[in-house]
Amino acid sequence: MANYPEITMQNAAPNVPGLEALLQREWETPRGWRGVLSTVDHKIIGKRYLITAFIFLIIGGLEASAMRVQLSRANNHLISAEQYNQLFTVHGVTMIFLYAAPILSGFSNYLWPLMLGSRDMAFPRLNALSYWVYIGAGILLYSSVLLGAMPNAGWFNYPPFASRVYDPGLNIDFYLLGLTLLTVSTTVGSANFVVSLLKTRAPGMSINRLPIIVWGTLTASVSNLLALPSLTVACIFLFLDRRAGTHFFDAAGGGHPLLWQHLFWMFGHPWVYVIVLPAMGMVSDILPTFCRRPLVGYLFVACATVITGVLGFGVWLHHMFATGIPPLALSFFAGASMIIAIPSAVGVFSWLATIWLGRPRRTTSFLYMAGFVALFTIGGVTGVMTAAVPFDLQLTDTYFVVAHLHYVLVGINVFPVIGAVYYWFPKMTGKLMDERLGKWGYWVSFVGTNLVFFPMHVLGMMGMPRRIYTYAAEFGWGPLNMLETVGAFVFVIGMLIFFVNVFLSARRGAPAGDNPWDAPTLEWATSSPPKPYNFAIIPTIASRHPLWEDRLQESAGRSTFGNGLVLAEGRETVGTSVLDAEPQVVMRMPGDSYAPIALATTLTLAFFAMLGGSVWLSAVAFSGVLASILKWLWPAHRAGDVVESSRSGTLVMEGSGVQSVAWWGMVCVLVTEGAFFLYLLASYFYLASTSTNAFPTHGPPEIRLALLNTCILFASSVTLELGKRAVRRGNNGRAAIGTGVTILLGLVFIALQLVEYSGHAGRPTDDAYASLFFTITGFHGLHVCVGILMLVVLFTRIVRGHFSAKRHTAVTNVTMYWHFVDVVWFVVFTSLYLTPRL
Amino acid sequence: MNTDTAVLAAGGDGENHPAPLRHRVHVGALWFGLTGAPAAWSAQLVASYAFSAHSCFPRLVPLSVPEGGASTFMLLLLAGSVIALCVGGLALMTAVRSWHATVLETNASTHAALDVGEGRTRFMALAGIFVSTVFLLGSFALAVLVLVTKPCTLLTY
Repeated sequence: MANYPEITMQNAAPNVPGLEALLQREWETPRGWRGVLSTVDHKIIGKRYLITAFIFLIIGGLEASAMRVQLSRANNHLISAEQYNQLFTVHGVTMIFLYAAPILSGFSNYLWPLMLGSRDMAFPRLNALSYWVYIGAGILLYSSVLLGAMPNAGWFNYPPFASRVYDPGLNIDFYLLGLTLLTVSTTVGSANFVVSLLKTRAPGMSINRLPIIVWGTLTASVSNLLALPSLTVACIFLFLDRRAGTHFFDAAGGGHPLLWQHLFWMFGHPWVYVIVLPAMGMVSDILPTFCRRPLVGYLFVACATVITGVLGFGVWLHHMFATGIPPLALSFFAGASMIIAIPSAVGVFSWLATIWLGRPRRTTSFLYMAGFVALFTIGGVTGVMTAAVPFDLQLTDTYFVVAHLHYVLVGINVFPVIGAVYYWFPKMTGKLMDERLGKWGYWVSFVGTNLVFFPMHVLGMMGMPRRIYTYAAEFGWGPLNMLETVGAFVFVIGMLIFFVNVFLSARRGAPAGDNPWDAPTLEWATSSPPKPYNFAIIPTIASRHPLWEDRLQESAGRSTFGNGLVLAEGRETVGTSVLDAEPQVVMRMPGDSYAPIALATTLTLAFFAMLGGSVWLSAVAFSGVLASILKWLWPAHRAGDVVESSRSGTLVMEGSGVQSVAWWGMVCVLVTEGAFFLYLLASYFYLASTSTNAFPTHGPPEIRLALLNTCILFASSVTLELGKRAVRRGNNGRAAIGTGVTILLGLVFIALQLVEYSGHAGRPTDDAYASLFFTITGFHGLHVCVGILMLVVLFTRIVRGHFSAKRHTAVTNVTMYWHFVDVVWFVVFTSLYLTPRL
Repeated sequence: MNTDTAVLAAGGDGENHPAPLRHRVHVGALWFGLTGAPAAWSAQLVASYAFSAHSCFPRLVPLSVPEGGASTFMLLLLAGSVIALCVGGLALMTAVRSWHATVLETNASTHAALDVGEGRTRFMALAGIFVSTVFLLGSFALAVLVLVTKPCTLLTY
């Protein structure tokens, strides 16, 4: 640690000599391969996300172009039916999973700490892990190209078409494993965003002073934590159906193909908002800059963002209107889908009012934002139309739906993203992009977008179905399809102009200065590009527009930038309270590390091993995963080296409980794990309600052993709680006893579970009930095993004296996890063992 | 500025604090005002869907009249809707009370409250009013649908 005694948190004057050099040394990423592989700098990771996502956009665009050429005229056979199936599937998967969400993660990764006045995300290494796993998932999905076995059942992959009977190759397995791996990336990234927002804002940045993009990404991240487990459950079920012979989606075995649709769209519709809400947030933050006035109705727009996210969970059935569900059940979801128009309209009117009441500067970025408003309105209106059940029944699976979703995804994602690149490129590179080229690119893209996608509405109403690789001339669809293909290539030219502009501007763009747009938010208070540490002195915030305070006079106080918390004893930033951003703790941030790439690599290899069906290779790869996690979690310092408190006398180091980011991280884990079990149990009750056979097949499961196990697990929670309290009192001996007894009780639970399995009447492959029973209890057992592993590590650390009365965050977190496992067991026990007896 | 000044600016009790009137409203009331109506609507939606789908289509057998009888079916659905409306209404009232208690948190003008968003407590209270209103509307729409839609008519294509 550098010796800089005068500047810790004491009376820091601006421009203290040597401070910036000191921070530079602490935070700078090393050059060369070491830096490439080990960096945890959010700005570098953010830029990597952006570049990678744009590469996937180009790949997806090439796939789309090939499809448009194929469809440009009737009876065309440039591409075979099977190749077309693979192309539209991989195009959808690429655009929706590998481009649309990661590109927004790229912006948020780059911008959040700058906008929030912090030095990095709450969990920098998780940030790096998220990126590397994303790369792994992309490689896994696209390695299917090498085998000519790309996924081929559509991006929503419905069984029974996607079952092994009808699709026996590796195509679907690539899809299932690739997406499951991607959920790991997205989940850890989302947890990082949530905790960063809650805990790492600059002092004074209360929740009413957040940029809208932050509200958008927060809503998207929470949605991810709750919705992604549904996709994970669906993928695991189908993988087990295909590889292990279970019956989740097999009607003959008591399963139901519609279960996939429920699970997929419970994830899928919230995901639509995941890939648009942050982009809408960009519009809400960028338009005011160019309109030279604050956003009209900030409170309404912030609320509308969150409301849209919540409503997004209640509309999944509108993707299933044509599946034969009773009409009253459908009408609930039609109503919910129409109500989403309210928050969407709030946004549109707010943007229009901001433009109307402002003095717009028609920059390229402004044009893309204005174009977004137009495209969003068209996509939104057709969304409300398809929310009406009779209308949807006529147009489902036609090109009308393709038109709607492309207006939404291109209009609400691609346009704001490109506008955002024009806006933040100067911050990232220190150079301005060429405005003239930019405006050419915008107009060509805007015309191309409407040429390619608007005629699809007409074609849909003429009856042209989706996912057909060719069509007969008599249908009369040829001219409009040719127009669309021309439009597609116009759009491609518009995108090419954009990429050329990025390339040229990065090389010889005009110098931008720190705040070239005269923007109001915090990221523009730093240099362009920002220093590795973002802010030499942590700013103190007094309003939502820190850089416009003098002209707006919105609040009595003034934000301060050159005077405040310094935090220069290593990699440090400030941790603040959730609602009002009151300074609470000094956070010691981890440095660059190889652990994230090691974990991502072993995890990806494990998924490849599962794809190959090699049990031994999978076991070896998962052992590598385990070793990587242990290496990651093992503390770098022995207890004696750990700083107990800072010298400020005001803020403690790291903190514990709600003050600690680790506590909030564990809460995120439990939320997403809780959702995972919720989807498992929802599947159980769904199949119970649709099964035409006896359910459970052989009557209710034997309860005595399960009851005994329930008592054992509850007892283990008590012993661990006693152990935790002992640590808080500084009594490590008793803590070790409590933890040790808990480990033993956990092992007894697992042993009894295995005894119960051996005496169970059915096998997992017998029917859907047995598949569910063993999968649900098996996953719970797996969580108990993970808990035992965590307890063993904890026990070792307690014995080695790593904890004290003041520092015991890991103990608190493991205890929380263990209690969670208990609660889940109680719900599982009630559902699987008690409800069949009612 | 030293640490204490920074803490005061962002965490003290002076007028520079983002929520000077936070002590007037319990934080639980603010959260209930924000989340009560969405939670009630969500529960109403999922329960109504599961109940109506199962009653009309138990174990893959399509029925023309809900299992258990049409009147009992409707009564139960409406009872669920009334509970959701009551919880949502309570959340709205709580948010309104919180707003009344904090309306002068910073600047009393509508502009300051809606456009600027200053005053964290008032911001949460006002957000609660807006959120509760939208989700109350949602709960009301679900209740009306129970009254106007035939529950088990089979759709024909």
